[in-house]
Amino acid sequence: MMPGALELELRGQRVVLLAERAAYWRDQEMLWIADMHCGKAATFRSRHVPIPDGSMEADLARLTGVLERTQARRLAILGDWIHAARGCTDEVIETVQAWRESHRHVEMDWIRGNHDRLSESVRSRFGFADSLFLDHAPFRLQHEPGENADRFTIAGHVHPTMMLGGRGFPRVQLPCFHVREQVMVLPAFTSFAGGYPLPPGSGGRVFLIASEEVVEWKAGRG
Amino acid sequence: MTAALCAWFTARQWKPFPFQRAVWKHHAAGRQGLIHAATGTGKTYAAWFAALQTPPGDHLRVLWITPLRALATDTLAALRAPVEELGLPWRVEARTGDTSSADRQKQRRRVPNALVTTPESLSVMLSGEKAQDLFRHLDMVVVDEWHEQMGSKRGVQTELALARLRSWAPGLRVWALSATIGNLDEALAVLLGPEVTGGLIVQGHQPKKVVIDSLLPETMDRFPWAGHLGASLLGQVVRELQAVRSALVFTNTRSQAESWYQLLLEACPEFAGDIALHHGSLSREVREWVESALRQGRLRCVVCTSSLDLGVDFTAVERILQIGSPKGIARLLQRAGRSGHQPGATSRATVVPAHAFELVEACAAREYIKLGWLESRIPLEKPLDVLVQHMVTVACGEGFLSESLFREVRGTYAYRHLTWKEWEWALRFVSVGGEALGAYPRFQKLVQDEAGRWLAANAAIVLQHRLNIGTITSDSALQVKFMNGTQLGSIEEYFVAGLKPGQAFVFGGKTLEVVSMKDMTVFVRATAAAKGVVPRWMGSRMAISSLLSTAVRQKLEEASDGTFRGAEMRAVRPVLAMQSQLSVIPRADELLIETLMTREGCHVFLYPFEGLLVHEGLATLLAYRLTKLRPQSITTMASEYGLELFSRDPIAIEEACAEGLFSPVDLDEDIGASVNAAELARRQFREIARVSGLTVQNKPRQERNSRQLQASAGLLYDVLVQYDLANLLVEQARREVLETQLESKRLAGTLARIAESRIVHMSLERGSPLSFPLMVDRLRGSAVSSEMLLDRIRKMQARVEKVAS
Repeated sequence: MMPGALELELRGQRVVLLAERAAYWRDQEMLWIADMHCGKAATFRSRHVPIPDGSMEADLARLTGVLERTQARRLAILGDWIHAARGCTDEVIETVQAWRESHRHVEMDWIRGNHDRLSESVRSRFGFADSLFLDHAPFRLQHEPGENADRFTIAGHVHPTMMLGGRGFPRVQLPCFHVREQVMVLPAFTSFAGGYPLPPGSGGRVFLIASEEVVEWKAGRG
Repeated sequence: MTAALCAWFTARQWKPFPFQRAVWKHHAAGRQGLIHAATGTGKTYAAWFAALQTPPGDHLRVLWITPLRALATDTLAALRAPVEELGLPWRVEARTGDTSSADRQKQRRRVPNALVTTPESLSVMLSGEKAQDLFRHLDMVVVDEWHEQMGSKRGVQTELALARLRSWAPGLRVWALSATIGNLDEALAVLLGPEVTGGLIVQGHQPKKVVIDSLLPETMDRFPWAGHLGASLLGQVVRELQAVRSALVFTNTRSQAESWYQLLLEACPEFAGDIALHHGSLSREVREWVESALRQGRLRCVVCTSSLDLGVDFTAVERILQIGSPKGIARLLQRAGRSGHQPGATSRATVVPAHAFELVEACAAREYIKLGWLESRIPLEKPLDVLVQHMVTVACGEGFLSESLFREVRGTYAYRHLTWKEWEWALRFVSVGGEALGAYPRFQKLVQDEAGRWLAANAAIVLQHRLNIGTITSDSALQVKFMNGTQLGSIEEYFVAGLKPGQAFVFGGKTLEVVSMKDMTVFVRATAAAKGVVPRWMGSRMAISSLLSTAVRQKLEEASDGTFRGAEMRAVRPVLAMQSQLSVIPRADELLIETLMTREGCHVFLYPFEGLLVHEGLATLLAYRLTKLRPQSITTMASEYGLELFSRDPIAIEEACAEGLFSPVDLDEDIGASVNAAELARRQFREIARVSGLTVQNKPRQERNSRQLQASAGLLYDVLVQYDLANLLVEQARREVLETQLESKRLAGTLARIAESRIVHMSLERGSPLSFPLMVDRLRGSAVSSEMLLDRIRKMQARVEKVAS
């Protein structure tokens, strides 16, 4: 078990929720991440919003860290690996290619998300196997968190967060894993993304990422 | 002054006031300055007739800058009246965000001679390619309600625009109209900038008598010592309203206005149709209807917020009621001035105290008004977000050469100390995207032509910029509409998110329920439910002013000497007597510290009387320093008058005072370490990001649904802090937090004052009246419902009264 992480049993499988905003399927040695949004800063710049680089590089470095720590053999990207076509500048693609190259031994699957709308020529430059979803019993890996009849869904897309504080305490918004009956939603991997607070009464279990540690949020105890 | 113009006055049986004649003379002699007079005393015509002395010709000659869009219509009517009646050849029009594009076209084809506009619309015009042609014949700019603009980013926007206009129209004379503020000389200096000399202050006619009084509770026995709503005097308020023809009831927040409207209707159902509600979140149609009904004298009462602080006078209004603390002396005077415009009438504002100590505030405010002591408006120092926006504005038009625009900008008061380094940073920010982006060729907002002029890179940038000119950040508000599409106003998203389906809420004086939500619109229908929750809007919280706090301290000192001057002081005497019986009434040169042990733990109350924001900052600072001396867990509460430190274990406050609790040493470090300044700066960045163009409030229609560029200002702030260390906008956010949110200067001043004060320690058996607001706020934090809260407050108060008697 890794520091700050928390292990769950999902459909009889051991899944570790990591404070790096990723989940590790221990039985299959497979790492799951969602919503990386590569090239987001470049997208903003192309529309005249002066955002410096650095966040994507930091996110990739964090991903490297998790891959090394878990020694995962496979990586599944649950959609929105890139932010927008116009942010796929040569610099961005080359940075990602170099990163991919340095993890040659890891098998990587890129499930398409709503942000991943690219021409085939651009998509192929990234060098990932790409698909609309992946079936790995008992799980189905996909971008949007819909329920599937016979599979437990692992998804991203909504960037779940939880709003804490208020009543005299400063409010903080923390990324979280949201685990329901049939679906687990991962937090956005990138730190350059806001999130959507889970509405009150969403049900399910909530695992917050609070200062480098995953903790289960038990309503009524805070 | 020509005979014809004078005849207009004579026809009305008016006689020009000496100050009006003075302005006409000075203007004709090429001078400029500031006209200081109360509202409704002829400021408008002092300036307007100065302009009318010369024939208009075919050009734009006069620009009239009004702070509110809503005022433009009224001002236009006031300026047109003499022109039409005298048959003068002046074409007078308005140009604001409400002007239709057809009318704008017309104005382009046939240039008006005088134009009423707002700072935002003026900037939009400055961004036009032919702006110089339009403005170079100007000979007069009138800045209306300058006291209101100064001290805000809009005021800075106006300063920059004036600098631009001066460079195009060398004979331009600028006149500002201002109500009374504490620093008129500075207001003049800000208006004209450091390079213009010979500005005048023309003192207006001050004929109006102002009466400030308070509704005194019939008995002090059951009058609360804490609270914000002020409902305990409802019956008396109703009686006052029944006795007048027309009145404005001012509240301090939009929620309070909604609540009071409901209270009045419940207390007096026959008011229905006779009273109305007016605040900034109601739709324009609603507000305009209320304003015109008020003008025609068709409403007995309008419950309003600062939304009716400014504007053309409502002649019918006889009386002002101010619910709760007036917060500032100038503010109370300004509001009082909204009444009594009938010939021979007096302006009268009556404070309706929400709790006992607000009686002291009202009395203190009246005395300072009599002495003519009012708050100053502190001008802003070089806000870079406004500068960056202005640079793009100029680049959208004729463009600029770096050095000459730098000189022009330095000619404003706000940027008189702008360094070349800061200027270069700003220019890099709008051209290559700032220091950290130097290497990204694709980022281009402004580009240079062969002659070295900076211009907007393309038409899309110009379009987007024009849509977003301005310094007002609107909240992410949802529109509230009936199912048939009738617009009611706007409400904040987080409030709607907290509503349960079918739950009733009160808005615009109606009880409504949500039917559906779609595309940032809440569709509602009327409901028969008797009660609904009242929305809260996140406005900037207003603390009582430093000057009013000083005035309050003086009144308390008098009381501690046994002197009770003024009806309010006599009324509040029993409460103050109880304060001195259970504790003491602090003198102006004393700091009272009360310690109270309860079953819960140790409460320490301090009363610096410096306003909510300073007390919040001070409370966190003291808690930090105390825990540094002795590790223990301390929570804090703050009110307008004082602060509370609470711990389960005893707080060794006397020892701590001796050990330098209030020491000015390491103040900045300790503030930095105690207050979550980083988080505050992150929030402050929202406005800066919006003004500087980092976030976009209004998108061109075709891009409205684009999610690619969605990022909150907070997120951008995080990225910039991490990856662009030299970003001056981040620096600005930190500075604004220290200066405006934490009022760090006032906090330092407070510590300095405490250092010279005698500290009076009192150990209490029961909470004193002064400690009440703080105790109540603590309860509110944990109360389940407001009814339960009221019940508990009542019980606490009864207990204290029993002990005292």
